[in-house]
Amino acid sequence: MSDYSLEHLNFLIVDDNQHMRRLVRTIIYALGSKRVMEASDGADGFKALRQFPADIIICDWNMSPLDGLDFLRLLRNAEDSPNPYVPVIMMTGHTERQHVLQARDAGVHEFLAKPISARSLYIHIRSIIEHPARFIRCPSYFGPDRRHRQAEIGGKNRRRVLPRPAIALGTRLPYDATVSFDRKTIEMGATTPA
Amino acid sequence: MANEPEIIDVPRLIEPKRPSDTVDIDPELLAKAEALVAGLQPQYLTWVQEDLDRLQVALDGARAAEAAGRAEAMQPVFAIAHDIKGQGGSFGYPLITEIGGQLCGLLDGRLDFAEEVLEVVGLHVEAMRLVVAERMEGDGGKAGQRLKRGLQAVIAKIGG
Repeated sequence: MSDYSLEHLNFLIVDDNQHMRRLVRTIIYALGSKRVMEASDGADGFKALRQFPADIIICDWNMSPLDGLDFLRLLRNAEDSPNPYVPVIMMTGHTERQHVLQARDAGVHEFLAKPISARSLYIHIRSIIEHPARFIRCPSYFGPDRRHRQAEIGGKNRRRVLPRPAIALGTRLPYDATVSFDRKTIEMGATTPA
Repeated sequence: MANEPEIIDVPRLIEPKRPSDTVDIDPELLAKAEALVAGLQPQYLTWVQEDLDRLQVALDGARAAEAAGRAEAMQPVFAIAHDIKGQGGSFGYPLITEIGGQLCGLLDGRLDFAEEVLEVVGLHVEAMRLVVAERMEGDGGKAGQRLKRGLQAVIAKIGG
């Protein structure tokens, strides 16, 4: 028996393939959470986050118009991101090293190779819960700590430890309807936060 | 200093009662999830047939396209094949994932789509239809492996 339940966690599934969404939702329901929202691409996912305080996002890479990496960069870096700290599991059939590194550098927590299974998704969810990553902010990166293991660092450790963010996970923040990010302007539907 | 990396501790989503260095698996919960996924297999067989129909339509569209526009016309073929590849193994059909992956490998980054390449793409579509029609679960047994080797041989023949 597990020593905790996923019952009270909110999951957002972002995938343009309805069959994949169905599969992921089925697994999450079976694992105990009934609080699941679906979005069909990155822009929809970002919009959904304004209404739905997701605790974990499970996101596909290949989507249009806004793919998984664009969504992730927006989530982490946009000034009006509803929750830049939310853990993201990226699902993809692109498992080559360069893709893994690209996803990691965009701020992904976990990388889930397709075809997925109940077991693989469950392991990644539990990994996020049991081993939460600290976040790193530096001029070239904002996202979960990319050092999976605490290795000895040659020379000076230049990292400063900051207190926890003032907002709780899942908090809905006020936002602007227009998001400027990465030389693109993505028009979002204006909605007033509840 | 502004350029020094900052470390930000994030609150836990849930506080496990027994902190552990490893990721614990609840076998009962996992078995329940696996049983529910297995229950989706009949629906998957309908979904994949629909995907294969869409794949055939996209391939026919590419065949009808002018040579100059063929690479662009093949993009939907790659996208659908990539979706098919990403799902088979989740529903007990890893052979679909393997054949779909082989097809994606043939298409990925290719700009030249001569007739012989389209022929080989068509053979992959037919092969996946056969896997579904014959319910070749798992690795497909001897017939499935023969099918896979045959496709690998035709890819080698066109220098793919």
